[in-house]
Amino acid sequence: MKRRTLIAGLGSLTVSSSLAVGSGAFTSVSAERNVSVAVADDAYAFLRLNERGSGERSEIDGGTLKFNIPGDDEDQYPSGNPTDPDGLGTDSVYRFGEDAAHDQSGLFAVRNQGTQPVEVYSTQDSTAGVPTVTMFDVDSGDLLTENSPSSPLGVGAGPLVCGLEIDTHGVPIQDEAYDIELTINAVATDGD
Amino acid sequence: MGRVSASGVQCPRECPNEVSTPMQRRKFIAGLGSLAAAGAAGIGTGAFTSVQANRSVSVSVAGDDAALLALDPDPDGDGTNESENTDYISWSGGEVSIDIDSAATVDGSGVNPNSTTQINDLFKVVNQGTQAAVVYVDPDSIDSGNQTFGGSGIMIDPQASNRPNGDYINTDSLAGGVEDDQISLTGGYDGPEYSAYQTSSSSSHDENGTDATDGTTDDALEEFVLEPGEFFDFGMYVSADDSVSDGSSISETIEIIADATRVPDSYVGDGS
Repeated sequence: MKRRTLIAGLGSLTVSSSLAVGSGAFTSVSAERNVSVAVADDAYAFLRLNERGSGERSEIDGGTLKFNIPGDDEDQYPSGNPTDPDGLGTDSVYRFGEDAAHDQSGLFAVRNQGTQPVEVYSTQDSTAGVPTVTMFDVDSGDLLTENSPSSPLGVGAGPLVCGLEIDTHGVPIQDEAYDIELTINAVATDGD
Repeated sequence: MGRVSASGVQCPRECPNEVSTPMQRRKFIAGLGSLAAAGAAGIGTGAFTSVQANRSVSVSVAGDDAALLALDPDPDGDGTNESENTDYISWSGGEVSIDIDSAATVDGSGVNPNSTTQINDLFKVVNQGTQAAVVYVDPDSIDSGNQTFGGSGIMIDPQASNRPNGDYINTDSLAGGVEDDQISLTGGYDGPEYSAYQTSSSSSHDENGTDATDGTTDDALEEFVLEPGEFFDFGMYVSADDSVSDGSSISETIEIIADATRVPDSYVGDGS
């Protein structure tokens, strides 16, 4: 009788544990599931990047945001008395908070079209021999770096209006424009 | 819940179809004994050419959220998703799909060109079986042109984070958003090797995942183990290089595998 009781006890235990974690062992399972990925224009992506203002210091070109300093249309501004500069001075720090036309604040804007609040900042892989470019928050003036990113940008919240700070210290003058890749990072604040 | 049973097995409580008393069973055992004796004598009185015995097998198929290997954003079943990024998944006929495109229920309609995007915690992968299993994604199920190692254009790699087992902790300064225990579920190579998230191609790993250059230890598979009831976050790493233009898209069928036979002999629990 005692033995039977013990078996019954085991039986109940099995039943309750199968309720908790499922029934039956498996040796292996494989499941095929579909993944689809699309690439969208920066203006329609989960991380939305938009140009701001006229003058083409910033522009969406071929789906990606690009910056040209001076702007492609810099020779049209100021209207009526264009300055048409050749470039930035060396050993200087410039801030570009608007495009050449000064018709809208910010050089570009970041909007969160994903699912989680994100902190935004820029990084630059290589600064050797080229100008150092860092994005900044036009409203606060704060540089947005990995160690000091933007405050969390909520999903669908108003855009983070940004400019670029460009440091030309130690960068030689040359006719050809420097080609720099700036990485704009947006990282979910809760680590998921 | 999936369930596989065959009649004739010993049931934990009672078998409604096959009532057997202890006496009958004892007789059966004795019968077997005689047969064995006859066979040993070489007479072959019990010979047969073929036997057909029909046994019933019942199999139930469950939705991904309730299967033995569950793909479930709400493992505690309280109706509130524990996963953060379920806006990027959809369900059809009980199967989950990952929609990193305009089908996602967000304002954006895709990843940026020339970007890397990580969407972690799309759903949880839950072991609802009764044995520990190594869970991974067959790298060959991803078209070679769309693998993050050696592919181009749009490339994907499934990721696991918030894992219960193994001892890997990311100490490198990897891209923002990479979680400390995040690993590639494909390993980037052939099978679930020690494939802590990597940003560059490496062919220096042997079949145990040991890195010839940095000496990474080969407790690789422990990182991929899920014990019954355990789960990790399933995510997707997406890279779009500068050769893709907006409007490009890919559709892949990835194969998620849970294999109890690959749990390493050295595995002793949390592995830490």
